[in-house]
Amino acid sequence: MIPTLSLFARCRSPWATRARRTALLFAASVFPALSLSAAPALVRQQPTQGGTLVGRVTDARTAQGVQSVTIEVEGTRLGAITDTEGRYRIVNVPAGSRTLVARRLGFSAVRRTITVNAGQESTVDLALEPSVVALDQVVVTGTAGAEQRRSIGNAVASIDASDALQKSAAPDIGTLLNARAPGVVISQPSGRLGAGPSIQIRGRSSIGLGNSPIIYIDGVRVTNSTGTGPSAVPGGLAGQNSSIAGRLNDIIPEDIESIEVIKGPAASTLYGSEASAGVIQILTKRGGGGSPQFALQLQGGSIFFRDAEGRMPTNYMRNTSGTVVPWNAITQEKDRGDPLFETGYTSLVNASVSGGQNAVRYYVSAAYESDQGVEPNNALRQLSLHGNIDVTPTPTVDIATSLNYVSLRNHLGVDNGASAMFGALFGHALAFPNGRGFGLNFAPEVTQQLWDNYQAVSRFTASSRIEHTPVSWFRHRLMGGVDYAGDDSRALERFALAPWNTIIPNATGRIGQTLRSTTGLTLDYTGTGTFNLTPTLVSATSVGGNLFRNEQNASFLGGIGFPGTGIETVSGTAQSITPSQQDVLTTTIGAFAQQKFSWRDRLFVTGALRVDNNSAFGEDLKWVTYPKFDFSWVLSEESFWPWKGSGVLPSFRLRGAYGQSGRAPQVFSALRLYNPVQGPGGTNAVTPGSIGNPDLKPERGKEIEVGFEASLYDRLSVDFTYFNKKTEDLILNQPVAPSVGFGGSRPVNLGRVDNHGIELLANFQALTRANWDWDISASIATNKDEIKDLGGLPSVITTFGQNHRVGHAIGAFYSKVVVSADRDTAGRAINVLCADTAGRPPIACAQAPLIDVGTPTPTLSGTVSNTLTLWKNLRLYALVDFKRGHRIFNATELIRCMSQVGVPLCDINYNPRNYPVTQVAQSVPSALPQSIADHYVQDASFAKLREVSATYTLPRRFIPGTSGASVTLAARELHTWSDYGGIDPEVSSGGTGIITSQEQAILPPLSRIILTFNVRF
Amino acid sequence: MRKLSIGTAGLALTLALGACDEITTLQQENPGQLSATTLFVPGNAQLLVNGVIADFECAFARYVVGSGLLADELITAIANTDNYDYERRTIQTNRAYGTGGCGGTNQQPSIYTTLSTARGVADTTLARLEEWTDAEVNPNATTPLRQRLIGQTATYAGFSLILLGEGMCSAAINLGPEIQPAELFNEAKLRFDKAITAATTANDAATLNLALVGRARALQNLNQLAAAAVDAARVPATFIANMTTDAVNARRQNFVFVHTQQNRHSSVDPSFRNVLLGTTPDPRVLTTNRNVPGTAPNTIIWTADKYPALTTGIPIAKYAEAQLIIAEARVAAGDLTGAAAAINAARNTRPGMPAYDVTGKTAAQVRADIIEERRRELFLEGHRLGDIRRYQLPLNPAPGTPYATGGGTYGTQNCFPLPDVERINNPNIGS
Repeated sequence: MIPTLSLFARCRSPWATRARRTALLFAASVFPALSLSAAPALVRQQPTQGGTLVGRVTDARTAQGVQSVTIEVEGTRLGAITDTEGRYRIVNVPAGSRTLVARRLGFSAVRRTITVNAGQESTVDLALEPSVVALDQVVVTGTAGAEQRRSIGNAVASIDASDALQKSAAPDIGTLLNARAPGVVISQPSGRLGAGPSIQIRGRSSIGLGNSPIIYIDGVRVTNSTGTGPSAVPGGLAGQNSSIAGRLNDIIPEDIESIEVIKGPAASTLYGSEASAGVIQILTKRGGGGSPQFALQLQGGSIFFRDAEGRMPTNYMRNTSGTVVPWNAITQEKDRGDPLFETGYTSLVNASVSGGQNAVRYYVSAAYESDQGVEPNNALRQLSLHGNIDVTPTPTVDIATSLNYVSLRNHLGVDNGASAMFGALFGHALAFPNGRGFGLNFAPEVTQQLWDNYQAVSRFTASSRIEHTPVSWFRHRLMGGVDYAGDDSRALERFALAPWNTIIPNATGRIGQTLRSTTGLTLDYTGTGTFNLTPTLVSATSVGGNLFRNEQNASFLGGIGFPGTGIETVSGTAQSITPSQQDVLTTTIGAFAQQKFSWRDRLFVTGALRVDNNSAFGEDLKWVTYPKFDFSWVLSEESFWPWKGSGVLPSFRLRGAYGQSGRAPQVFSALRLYNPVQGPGGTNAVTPGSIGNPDLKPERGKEIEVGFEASLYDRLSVDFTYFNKKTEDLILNQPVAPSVGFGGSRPVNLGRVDNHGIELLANFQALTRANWDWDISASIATNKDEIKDLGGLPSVITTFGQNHRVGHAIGAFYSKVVVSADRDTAGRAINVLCADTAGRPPIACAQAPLIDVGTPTPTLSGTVSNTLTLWKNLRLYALVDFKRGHRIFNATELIRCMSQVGVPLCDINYNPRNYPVTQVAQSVPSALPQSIADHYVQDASFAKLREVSATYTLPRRFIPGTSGASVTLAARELHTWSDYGGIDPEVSSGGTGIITSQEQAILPPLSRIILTFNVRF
Repeated sequence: MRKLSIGTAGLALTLALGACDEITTLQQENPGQLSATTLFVPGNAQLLVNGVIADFECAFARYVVGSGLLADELITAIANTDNYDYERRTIQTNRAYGTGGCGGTNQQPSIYTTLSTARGVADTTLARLEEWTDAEVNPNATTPLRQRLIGQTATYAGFSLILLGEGMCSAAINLGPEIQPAELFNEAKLRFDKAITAATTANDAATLNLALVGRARALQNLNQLAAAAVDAARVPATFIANMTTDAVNARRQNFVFVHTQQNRHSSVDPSFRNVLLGTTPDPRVLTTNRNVPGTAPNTIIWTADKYPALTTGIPIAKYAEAQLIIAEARVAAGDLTGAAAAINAARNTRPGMPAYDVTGKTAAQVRADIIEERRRELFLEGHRLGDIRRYQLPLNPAPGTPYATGGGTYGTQNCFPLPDVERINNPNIGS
């Protein structure tokens, strides 16, 4: 009897409490871990009746050991993962003839049949050939056990994280993902430390809900919230908060083995009602067995705002004598000897040990990172502990446990008005003499010292997985895990002393504190039965069920007025604000059945059905179903393949998939809810909150994708995919007619958005010589989204901004477009005419329509990277990535040129003849109120020299006693090619998670130069 | 046997989870809000009626300010085009008066959604109260709680309809067709009929008097003055019903104080400053120059002395109003002396007020005096806009007069137009 079962026997008792429920959740999640406690006993009881296999896996080209190669003994649960030297050890292998299979990303799988003798140790060394088409690579699919890529009909992008990390020195998962999978677009809300990325796969397909994929770490669904951070107490300067943090970056990339990206409904059907924006599977490093292997990584470097002087604009203003005076904050502060943006630093120490004996393997690591940004109020300290334990108590059972703990202390800096960036962009010495010219007289020492947005995060992610193969034709898997993220976020405005207390209203300070926790529980069971129907036809039947339960609690408290400097707590304030509290619980339950047929291991046909229910669905909606179908055909292995054996086209696979998945409504949106309020005489009362929609369904994505993978002359591999997706039942908020007795809006399933595009990934081994290897990798992805239906909701656009209209992209920009104007004697614009609807001559701007001037979503993205390996020891690497076809609202320039801070600050305001008259027409305060602002919706296309690195693998004689060492010098964010008129087109206050695409005084992605030293013992 | 033990355990766990509704329940839990399915039960009757009153009081306070701006009691003091529109009588149909709720600062006072919500909540609650039995609502009490609650709920439903009728050019109820003020007043009368019956049964004098004044006001709007006077005459001299208030809770603060003195969004109209009764300041319309500017050009904040604090109640109905309804009915019937008596009864609710003298006055003059008495007696109590419409008073300043504060000229609106949010989203109203 497993002890956890007794916990559940009391589940239905009526005295359920929240505390007990939490305990229950924890118990459920660690059930496999509890099982693990019995494992040593099982291990001890297991007689040593098999043999032991040991060996080393090397790269056939370089003869260097290859780490993280998965070794399996076919037909059993036995296996190992190679250590940093490529060594492995597998014990208790049943005697007899056995087949070893070695797999790793980027290499062809190797099979070796050997004879195992009981009680003896056999050495089996394996050499892996680099592969351009990885048909035998295994990927996570949602069924029991991983599957070979060749059997899957949809595209799955796999990222070798450890290799990518060594090349890129990526500081976090967001930057590690960037430009590594076609169609995956990463966006940062700011360049400041602590900013969390938004991820968007195959463009936008939802208007009212998010476009972020769901994320799993070792099978546990984890929170991927973005745009979080401290909330400020209103008043004073209206809250200089910071909402740039994202939970994805809590996990340090050094612990990651690989990342797999499933891109849309065609592939994500088995993941159900929240997966239509894609699924990202993050797999952490695991132990390989054998004697302990120690690894130490030391990293240090600088963080800086590249070419701040050249990228930050100069402002202009006329003095009392009529002379136009330039002012540049960067130059001014540099001349004062106190640069506005200092050079920060990054430092990281990461140590790990891995190994194992007999049936137990482990990987344990600890890392500490300390970074300082370019402003004093932006810093990051992070401690990460990671432990993975794998136990194989019997040849048929494999138990894997993963534990991750993160403690993060982050000073996020300031988002809104009171930042050094803001003051520099919107200031001038003549306009704000009391603040050395900085806008609103906020000198940078004020903004950087008075405001501190602090976030302390504790993150714990744990999972246990039991895989069991009771009989040769059946295997099943039970997985449970929890992901807990708790944060204490504080928006602090310190007590201001003279002279700043004369500039800042209500200068006695204030603090807002948000205490928030998110607990996700994942439970998952799948089983697969495999039957040989005929010698050539194999059937695999899978069934499974899973549950995801997410509980969020948040409290906000705060106060106004500290008695003096140094007091920075809520209890130290003179006046407390009304606290608030929010508790949200969502549950998703689903089950699936899948049938796969494989013929001769080269033609695969799969059909599946997923049923789902979610607590956010309307009460009148029961279960929803999502079907899928796919095929995969390795044509190059067919006898009729014309190039068989010729080497011209040695590998070719055709694939196609159709599938559906959903996007669940926002929590509570289906319910008719009333809010508690104060009634007459201070009594309790209720008032209508939201009207809800009991018929609310999830948004449903339906996607077809077809593609192929091919290799030419074993040097060039091509992976091509075309996708066409329709997202139906789009959830839109329809305003409620107030006469019904409710205000606000109700969510309704009304609209449809279509997306289509292609993804192309190519790898070319340009040069392969004894001492030279040159690999070129390139990818390109296109995407076009178009709103097909808004359910008849009016989309009358009356003012400049982003909006949704049928026939156009989601969140397209709408503005009146100036097409002509005359100049007066001063060069200013008169007789301004704007574009009318297509086919008509220009008309007066007052009567002109608002026209779609561009989409915020990149329509083309891609990357080119080169890796040059010299003398097997020196690797040079560079990566350029680009995005095109989208636009961003340059609010910075608009504010400066349209005199929105009270004075015109752009050169165009003083030298209009140097600029196109259509632009001059938009540089007056009266333009924006008339929705004339097309000049400020600017082309955000860019290409960046994102990553450059050189890695030298030190000969062992250099550091005696080690088993390997390397040193990497890397640089990030070195150059940007763009026509964008602002500082950087890549950062947006909205990120890609939401529709808003606007750049206003945002710190751009910062450059880094990093030196990394790795050594293994 | 052991080989299958873990797998068996896994299956058993799955089955156990299947039976464990604490983890697998799809019931949404939100401790911060109440679901309609659990809220509308007899045990919550008092809670629901508290909500009816709370929603009305919030809507009423905002109506007093918003209608005061559109009428001639207040002027805009904040530099904002949307605020200018209230005073300038150029309100656009997609603005906050139509969509705003009770939350936020209500810089532009919300009118239609707040009143519609109050009306909707009251009607929904009234329907449930009428379905339930006395025993269900209050099993242990001997007093007829349900009838008292029906009386209160119907009364506040009636007042919501009154304000919709007086303030809106047209409106709708429960996604019905667009209806005119007269229909709204008839609907209000039906609610007051129920309220008076229930309050009488419950022996609830406070609610009864409030409902009587309410029905009298509905009948007055329907020009059934004689019937109105009958109800008004039943109201005792001590009667006054104020909205309840709270110093901190923004929904329950005196919104006139908030909008004028606290936030400086509006100021008392010049026509209500330094108003004399004879040779001395009229105690009904005392105002104070705060000597602080609004952000709108050339505006100085003047406030009404009758609302000195956030916690000062605003009268919903009172004896003086009832007497002025009687006076109006008597004038219409040619009883000028009787009218004067009623006017004096209203005046005598305050100490030291001089007597009204009807000597030598014509019926038209007395009627005009009653209108003036109402202007003063009911200053900033949510009556002026309705009076301007009902008595067809000339707009002040006249339409076309330049609006110096915010530009443009004064418009012709004397009511809030049906907002777009209703017109577009109500399937029974054509665009």
